[in-house]
Amino acid sequence: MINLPLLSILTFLPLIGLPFIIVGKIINAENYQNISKYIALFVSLITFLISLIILYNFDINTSDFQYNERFPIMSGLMTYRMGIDGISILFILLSTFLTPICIIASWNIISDRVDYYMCSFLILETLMIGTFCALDIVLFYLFFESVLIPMFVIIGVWGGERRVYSAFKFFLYTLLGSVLMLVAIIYIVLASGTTELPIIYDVFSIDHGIIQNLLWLAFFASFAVKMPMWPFHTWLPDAHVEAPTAGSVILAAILLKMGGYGFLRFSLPLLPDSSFYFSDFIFILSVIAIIYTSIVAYVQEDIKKLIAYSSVAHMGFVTMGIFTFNINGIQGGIFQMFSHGLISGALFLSVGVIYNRMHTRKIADYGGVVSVMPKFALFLMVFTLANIGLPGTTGFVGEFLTIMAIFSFNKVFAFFAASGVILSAVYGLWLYRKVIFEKITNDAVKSLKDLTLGEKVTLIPLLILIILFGIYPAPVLDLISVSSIGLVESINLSGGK
Amino acid sequence: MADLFESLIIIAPELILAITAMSLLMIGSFYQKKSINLIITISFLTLLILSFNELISNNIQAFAFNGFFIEDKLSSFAKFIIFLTSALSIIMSANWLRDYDKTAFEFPILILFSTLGMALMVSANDLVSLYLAIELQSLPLYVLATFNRNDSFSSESGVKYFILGALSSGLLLYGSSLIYGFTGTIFLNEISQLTLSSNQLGITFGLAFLLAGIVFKISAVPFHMWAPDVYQGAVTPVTSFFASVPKMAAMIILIRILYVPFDNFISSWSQIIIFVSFSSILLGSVVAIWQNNIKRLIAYSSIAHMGFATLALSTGNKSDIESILVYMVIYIVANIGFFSCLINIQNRIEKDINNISDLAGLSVNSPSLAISIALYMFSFAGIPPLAGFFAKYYVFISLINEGLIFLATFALIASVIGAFYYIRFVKVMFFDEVVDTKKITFSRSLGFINSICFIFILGFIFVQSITPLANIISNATLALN
Repeated sequence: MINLPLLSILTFLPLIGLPFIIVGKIINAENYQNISKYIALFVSLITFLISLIILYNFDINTSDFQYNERFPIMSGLMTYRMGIDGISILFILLSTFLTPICIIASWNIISDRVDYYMCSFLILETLMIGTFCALDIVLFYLFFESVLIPMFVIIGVWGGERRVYSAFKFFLYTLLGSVLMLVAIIYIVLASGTTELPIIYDVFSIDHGIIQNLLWLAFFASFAVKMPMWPFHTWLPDAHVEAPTAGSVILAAILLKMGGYGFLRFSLPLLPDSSFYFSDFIFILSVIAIIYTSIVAYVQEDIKKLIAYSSVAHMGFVTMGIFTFNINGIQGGIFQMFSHGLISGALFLSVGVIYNRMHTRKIADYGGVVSVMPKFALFLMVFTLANIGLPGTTGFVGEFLTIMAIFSFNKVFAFFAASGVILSAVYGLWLYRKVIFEKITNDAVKSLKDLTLGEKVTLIPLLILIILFGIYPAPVLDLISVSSIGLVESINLSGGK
Repeated sequence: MADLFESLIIIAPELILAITAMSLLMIGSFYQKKSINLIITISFLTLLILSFNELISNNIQAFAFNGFFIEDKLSSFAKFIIFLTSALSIIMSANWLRDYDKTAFEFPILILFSTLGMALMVSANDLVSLYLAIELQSLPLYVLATFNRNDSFSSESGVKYFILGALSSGLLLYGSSLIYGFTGTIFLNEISQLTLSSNQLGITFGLAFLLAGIVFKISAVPFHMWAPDVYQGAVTPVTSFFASVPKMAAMIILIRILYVPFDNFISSWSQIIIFVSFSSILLGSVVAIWQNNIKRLIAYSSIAHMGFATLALSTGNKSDIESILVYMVIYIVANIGFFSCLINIQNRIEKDINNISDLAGLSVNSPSLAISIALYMFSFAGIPPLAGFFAKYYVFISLINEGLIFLATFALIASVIGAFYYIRFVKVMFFDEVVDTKKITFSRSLGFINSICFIFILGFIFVQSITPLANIISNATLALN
């Protein structure tokens, strides 16, 4: 169909921006900040365009991997194998779509070492796309783990007051999870004699027993930290709070999804029996995440922290959906990840809007914003309602599908999961009331200006997508359905289900 | 006579090195300071040519002087790395030497003599040549440790190194004599045939002492105590040399001792090696957390790295030597790269950098230096896609292949602890408030060395895919089979 190695081009295109930014700084040292912004924006937009071309030529009627590229590298140690299916293309689009938005959102905010910042984001974009494209288990690990470096730098350099603590916590926490996964990966590679995932799917099989359970737990250690699932979530509020706005957006919208993607790509197809064996365990953790972190979110004084806890709660739906082993659950889980990517991104951008004006994240410092920023209030209302899961937004579709699947799996868990929807309304609406309504108590609020053009440019696309796919989710579901069905069918439980 | 001539041909590189070193010593003692540039240039070129010679040499296996000396792919490869790294060490110290006092000319010559010792060491094929070579490489190192005579730290470190080094040599000799006593031979390949028919306990005893002596040279736990003090006391170019070249030589001789004469004793020595490697990783990772001095920290880091490298020995499988060699190469390159940055900073600001906090704010005015150091640190920590990750990856493949999964898991968890102090460098350079610093640029030679190391570490995937490095290493591995 197409001879160009489009996936490689897509993955490594953002890196092309780096030499231009460096050269720009050398030839025009005074105005390098603007130059690097424009270069980064331009490159990320081109990347987005290429991802659209890939989407245009994507065949949604097959669950096979498409756009395959393959050649052995490192003298046979691993294979450079890229390819996408319906699940990964969704996350690739999310990454390429959000990166330009993040760059625009940081346009006037970041003034310190702009060139480093833009380079970090471009590197991050490459690594994110690579993670979702890689079809070689080692190559996947390389991308998955390298993400730590730019994210560590983004939190540490441009973050808030406690940025060093948060960056270290983020780095070491995720690294600890990942090294355990590395052991499992090496075991699987040695057992199956290849590093290519599609071949491993065919040849790797292991009887259900202690080894499969240990392998599963090793993968779980990495993905549960990344997701993050309760009780491994404690790095997330810190990282979110201290990261700059765009960093929070990428963290919430893409990096968390790598955990769910990992469950779908590795745990479920490779270790099906253990996945089934541990599904109650996952359900219990997810239910605790949904209920406990929702309650924790309610008592937060910091806006970003509240949204971070709400992310943990929403990821609970994803893990529950994935581990129901049925098509609705898996589709719902994937859709919920996609929807949460849009919504949490939008929420963090909105917080960024008011934070840049007030330089405080304390809920108590706000109140009555609606009277000075009516347009902003409208945007935030839609995003908050979407976060709650109001019908007509993407949040509803994901939660509805997953709860439906959980209901057919286990009614008790479904009851608890559904209560999470109510709890999210409690803290979501509470936050909205405290920030947007009520009397103005803080004089600084009175002088706030409404949204600027740049802020509108970042928020409007998200608003449109959230409502569009909320009312008409079919395009997204079509994209993922064949692959999800393929995934469900490929899971052969030896014990039978 | 023909035998002697053949032996001389085989040992020619070492002879050239010895003759060069001695002639340079003459030149140096007559012309002193004036000859410094000449001495640096000649010693650098000699080492470079010799290393290239080892790279292209095609010796499958050759013995010289009735089996006293062996030249095979493993020793060729080791010598290639040793000569090249020594050459780089001399160039890296060149700027600093030119400003040093009149004894500066001794520095390259001492390095040449030590390198000669190491070259003989990796080719040693009997217990006597092993001992002689180890002493020849150690004695110049003791002097190098005290090179900065006016500094009490430096003198202390040299004396400490000397006393502990003498102790380890004693242990080594005692072990050798036990082995000789129980087997009746000093040749490594003959020992391997006699081990099973001799007194097992006595040989195990001798092996333990022999190992103690060699483990001291790679500064692994429990014989690591000298490393932090010596690294800290020595001047930076010497620390750079200590941290890279002698480790390679000692690691090769460790491999040779374990796999050639004591091939049948794997069950005995693999326990020792597991203890040594795991405790090195743990101690190196944990203790370094409290260090503020860069050189002490690098010392602990090198203890941990030696632990990782020897971990691949604990499998007792000859094919895992490949993992060790890859690990050592990557470790040395990252070390050289890091020290080229550090020496460059010291040359430019004309004072010593002692604490990590002295690097604060480096990222603002000297981005290329800061990014390079950060890259080496991430590589030391084993973060992909940098070379340091692949170094660990190879080792863990070996371990898991042999079923040592729990050892691998614990070692990996320890490496996460180790990551903490490596990323502290990044924190200091990038996150901390900027102190008043001036712009530091690379000098030409150090910049060149740094960029080579940078490319190697960053693009290790390409290096391993395109260059013949992987081929050379796997050939070297086959030498012992």
